[in-house]
Amino acid sequence: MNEKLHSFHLAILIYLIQTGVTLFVLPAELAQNFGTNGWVAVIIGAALVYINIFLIGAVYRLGRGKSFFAIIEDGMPPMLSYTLYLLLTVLWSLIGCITAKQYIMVYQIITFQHTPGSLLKLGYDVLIYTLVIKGIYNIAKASTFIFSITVFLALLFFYFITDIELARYTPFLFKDGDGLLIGIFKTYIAFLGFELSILFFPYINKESKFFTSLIIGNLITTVVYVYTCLIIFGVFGYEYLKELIFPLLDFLSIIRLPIIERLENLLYALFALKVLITSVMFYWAATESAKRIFRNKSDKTLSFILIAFSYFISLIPDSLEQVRNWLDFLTRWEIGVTLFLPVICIILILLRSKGRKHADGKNC
Amino acid sequence: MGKIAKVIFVPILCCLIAGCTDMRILEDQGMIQAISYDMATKDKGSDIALIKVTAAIPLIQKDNLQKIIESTATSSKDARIEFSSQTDLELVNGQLRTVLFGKNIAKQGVINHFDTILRDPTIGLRSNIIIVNGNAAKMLAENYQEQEPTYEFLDRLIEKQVDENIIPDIDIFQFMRDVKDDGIDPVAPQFIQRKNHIDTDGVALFRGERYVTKIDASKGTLFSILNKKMINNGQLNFDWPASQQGDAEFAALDINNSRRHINVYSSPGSNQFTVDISIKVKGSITEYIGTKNLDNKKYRDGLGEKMAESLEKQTQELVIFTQKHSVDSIGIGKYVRNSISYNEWKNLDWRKVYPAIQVHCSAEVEIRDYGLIH
Amino acid sequence: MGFFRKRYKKALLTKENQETQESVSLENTINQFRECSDLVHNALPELQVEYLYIENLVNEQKVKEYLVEPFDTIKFPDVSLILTEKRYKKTADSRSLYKGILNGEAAIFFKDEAYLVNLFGPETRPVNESGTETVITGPHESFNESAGQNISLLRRRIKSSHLKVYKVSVGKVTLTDVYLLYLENVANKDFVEKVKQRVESVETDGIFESTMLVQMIEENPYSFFPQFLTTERPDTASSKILEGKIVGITDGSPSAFIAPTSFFEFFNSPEDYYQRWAVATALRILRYSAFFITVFFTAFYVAVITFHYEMIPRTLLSTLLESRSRVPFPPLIEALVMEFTIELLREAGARLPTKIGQTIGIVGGIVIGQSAVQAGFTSNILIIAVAISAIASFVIPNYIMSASIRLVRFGLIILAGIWGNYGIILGIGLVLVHLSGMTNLGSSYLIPIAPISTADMKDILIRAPFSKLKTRPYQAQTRNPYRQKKK
Repeated sequence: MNEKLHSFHLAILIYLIQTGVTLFVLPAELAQNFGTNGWVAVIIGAALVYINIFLIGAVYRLGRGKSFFAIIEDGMPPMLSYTLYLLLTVLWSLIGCITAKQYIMVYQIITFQHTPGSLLKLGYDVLIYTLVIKGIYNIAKASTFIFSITVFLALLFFYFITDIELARYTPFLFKDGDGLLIGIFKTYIAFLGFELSILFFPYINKESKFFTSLIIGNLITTVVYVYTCLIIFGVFGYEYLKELIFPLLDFLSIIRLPIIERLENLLYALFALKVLITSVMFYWAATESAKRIFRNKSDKTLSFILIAFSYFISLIPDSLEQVRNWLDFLTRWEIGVTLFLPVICIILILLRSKGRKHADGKNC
Repeated sequence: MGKIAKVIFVPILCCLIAGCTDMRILEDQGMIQAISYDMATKDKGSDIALIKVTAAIPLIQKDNLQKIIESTATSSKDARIEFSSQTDLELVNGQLRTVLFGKNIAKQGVINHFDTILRDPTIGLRSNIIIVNGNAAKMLAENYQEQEPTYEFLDRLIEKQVDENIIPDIDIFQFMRDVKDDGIDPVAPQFIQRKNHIDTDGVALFRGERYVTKIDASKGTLFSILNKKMINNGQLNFDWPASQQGDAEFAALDINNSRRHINVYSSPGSNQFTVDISIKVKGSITEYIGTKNLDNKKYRDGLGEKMAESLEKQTQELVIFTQKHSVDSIGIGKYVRNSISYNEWKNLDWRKVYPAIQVHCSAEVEIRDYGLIH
Repeated sequence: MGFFRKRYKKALLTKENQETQESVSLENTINQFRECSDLVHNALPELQVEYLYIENLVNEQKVKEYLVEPFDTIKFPDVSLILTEKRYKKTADSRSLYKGILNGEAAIFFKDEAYLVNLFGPETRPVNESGTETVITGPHESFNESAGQNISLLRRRIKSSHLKVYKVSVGKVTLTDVYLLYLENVANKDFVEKVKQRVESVETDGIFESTMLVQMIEENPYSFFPQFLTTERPDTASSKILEGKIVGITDGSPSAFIAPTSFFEFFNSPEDYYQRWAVATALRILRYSAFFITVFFTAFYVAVITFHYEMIPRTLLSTLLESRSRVPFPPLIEALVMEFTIELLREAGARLPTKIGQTIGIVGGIVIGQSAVQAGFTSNILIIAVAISAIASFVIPNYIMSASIRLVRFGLIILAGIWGNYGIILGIGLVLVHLSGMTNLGSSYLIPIAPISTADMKDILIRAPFSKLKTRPYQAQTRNPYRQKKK
């Protein structure tokens, strides 16, 4: 892999990993948890994420671009590192899988109520597999096109400018919400995905401007979230939002163009590509980490095994409720990973450099 | 690549073999275009209030005609079962465009019937809601235009009337939003069946989900001016009967642009609110019947002032009318809410306070032109 | 097939080995060309000169000048003196002797020595207007089947000594000459080396077309999409040379191939540069919309009619309902039948002589346009959809690309018939994944979108005024990126 990620691609890749079905649920969750002007909470969530991004940036800086796996293997006993890899592989492939499953299940609310979801998921997994095996550089290339969906959606939202009523926002901040803490937690979850950037070190160089790209990527996510939620809050009003489960779906269904109506169907289908990147990147990360355990297996085999294996696991949760519970559980772990990985890396690097200094001193 | 090709074709084959029960081939669907809810006449001795639900679906073979299916049941869900036995087509809701409520059923609240509609993901939130002064089923069943089924005629009628700001533009989503918002009461257009046509009856006012009263169609544009922040179309008629001040006069104003501002003044701690509604209308005179000669600049200026005065009076009356019925259809509550703190608003029983508040309407009319003659 | 080819190659190789062992002699040469009735053998015993050439490969004029006049007519006493002239090349290797004869040279045997003199000059088609890439404004010349002629067309356009013409012979039997043209000071050396090496390593019995050759040197041979742009127009080819790309000309083929190429170049026409920039930009947008229409329109029709009836607006509903109600087939079958018919018409029109082709057009127009609808075979809305997407597919300037896209469309229609919008998006996803994995001489096929190159966007998605087009495309990875003076 001599090709390196361009900083632009890195930024939109981060953005695309972060967004997904969450965008459809987020405004409602904000309204439920924060009440009035819940969209402001997105900014708080983003601020928290930035702290985390700084940690990852620090790993890159301190480790001088040394790959994550190398850092772990240098500083940890092999047994411990293999356990960690196994955990990461399972966790990441499950997240990739359940995210896709959630997407399919939500789609089945709109259409294909009777087609078995497993079949739809199978078609989707084929797509995931074909992209995962192409490697990160090509994933980034594909994501450039998928990014244009966002631009398209953003333009479409202008349709609602006249429907927004300022008085509907109310001047109150976070009143009438159910729980600020759980709200912050959920908002933070909406940003998850950026942590995979810790695996990008071997694929970037100085021109990729890793840290800046991360910040910009997260900024795009924040802007998209804020923009969407802001408009949805203005159009629906927070009280109505509380009752909805997928406000963005309702929102898109309102659009009526001269030659086409009820765009939610088409646009939600289009979101398949956005979710694709999220899923693919988690699978990719899982493959990367699995590669460290099974070194003699090829990427393709590992990806295939992971996707096939998690496909069967994804058959277990049956209802949207269950899928959500699974995802809640998984993301809770993922938050742990998000915080834990950079911190442990930093500790390992520091310990090592201290040790080295010590050794250097002795030599002199 | 060969492997990939296999992987691609396997699911396709699977699906072909499995067969798709989700196919909704256009011509096999009985696409409900309009649905109406009425109170059924009660059976003697029975306590259960039955509702009558009818649905209009397009007929393909006979051009431009509709098929009406109806059923009487305890709930709208029961009605559906009875529906499907009346047609060979699969009944689907995806093309639903108009929901009609009889006035008598609207008085008892509409939210129950909405549950089915809102839960069904195939129903678009842009479907119109209208109230029928009388029997909604009967209005839907009759044909008014030769070339057009009633549901389509109704749809176009609503669209046109909304364009002219005679009735408010209310679809399911806007209605539900206003039901949920505690600072405004929902409204809906109201129609009535005349001998061989459908007539606009005015604007139906709701208290929460229940129908309360209506504003007459002639006041429709006035209501739009008050209800919306800005309108760009519509017509206002001014009629001054003969009196000591002058002769009878009539003027029609075509609205180019009308803006409304609401200011709320509250004295802290008390539930006393003063609300200022100021309206600025800009328009063209399309008709003037009267003795005054509009050649004269003085008269021209006077006409504008006179219109403003009349507008103030009429809007004031309209607000008082809503206060009398304790329905905040204009949405003053939103502005009051935004002028006070959250706790104050929560402790306020707006429904009780609203009839008592002071509302002052002021209007300004700017005449852009007088047409081609003076 | 592969096995067969391998064995054949072996046989060929052994034969060649034998050939090299032979010494240069008249008998051997005549023996080599036995039963070749077009071989002319002339003996001049008094001069001890015999010469051989293939009649159909030589120019009468040259024969007269180089053979008949010096040897027959004048009967110059000292033959060896004539043969010292530069144009007579002495040859000791029998293989190059045969090759020379096959290339239209005459073999002259004098005593024990053999000489070759180039008489090549068969009749060629004159430079005509291009049949597949016509323009309204701009040069009307196009390449023909003679490589020499084609190179001359390019040389006349680029008067630079930096323009290199590298020759490779491809095809063990056909020995087709392939010329690689590039600007030495502009083109990327790696790319040049890669193309040279790939063309040289093609092992087959013969090639007849550039479009055939490129399929043997591309990186994704299983892909639906063409990976090297081919053109019949010398102006396109020379503009690509200027961009720092490599142009390949195959003898006997009127099309030149260009390497490396990006997907978007297939949507550009040379006329874009001859038009005003605003018009050219509008045309490019038109072409990309045509691309979308071709790919999605029918598929979307199938998806909506089969699954998503709620997406139809009120104004269209009754029309669609009415026209669909008489059709006995499911929308997928209906669409496939119609698309298939259109393809039949197109193929018939392309293969038949123009005069009969017109009849096909009329028959097809009437049969499909009217009868199919009246008979209740298809809905008229579908006819419109199919017709528009067919027309749109012809808007794409490159015929090979447009054919590929039409094929991809069938896949999408089938997916739409199975899974509606979801199927379409899945199909797009697959195509997108496939495209983004493709490379062209190691550079991305999707440049300048992925990897992004903002400077190139000005000349791919739109056509900016020339004052803004100062750099050569990023894909060419040239050492000399500025084509206009930097200011």
